[in-house]
Amino acid sequence: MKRLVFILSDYILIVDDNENILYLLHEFLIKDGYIIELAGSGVEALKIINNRIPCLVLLDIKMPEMSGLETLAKIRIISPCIPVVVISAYTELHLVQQAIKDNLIKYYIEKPFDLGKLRKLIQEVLQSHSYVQEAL
Amino acid sequence: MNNELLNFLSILLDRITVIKLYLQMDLENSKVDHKIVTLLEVEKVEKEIKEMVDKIMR
Repeated sequence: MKRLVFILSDYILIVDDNENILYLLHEFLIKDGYIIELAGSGVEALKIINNRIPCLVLLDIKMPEMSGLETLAKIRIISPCIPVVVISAYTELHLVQQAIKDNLIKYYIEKPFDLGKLRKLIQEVLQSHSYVQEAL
Repeated sequence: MNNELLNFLSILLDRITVIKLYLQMDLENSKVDHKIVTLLEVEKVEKEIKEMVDKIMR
């Protein structure tokens, strides 16, 4: 059975264990008119995604307990089509490169990033994912 | 040690990200003034670097 899920074009989930980064991205993106939800861990993010599907996930790669890549693999099981922008530092570049080769990651931004570049990337990603069809 | 250093550098990059975001928010005319929190982040970076130097020199 197939379910067609229309995703709100302005609902973004941000996942990062750093509270300051969560706060700052929330403050920045809310001014651009997005509805923002925050998760401090991969487990928290998966709970949210199980109930509400965001139009985009901003996901930190380095998190304790469940890493960003583990979280991403589980997000793909729940919903294969949600666009995910991975946030990673230069120290995790090797992980990102491998994940790109494995087709796990399509979009990423490197810390410390420029807010203007992040805004542009989010706009581009959202424009290319206006709706998602999911098979259940 | 390599892993410990990578972890340390990763933490520093996170702190620099926060500092850069605070400064960019202020440049975007944020309603909140982030000078004090920015200074606190810089002090955390300073403390972490000194702790790592002590560890290496021990």
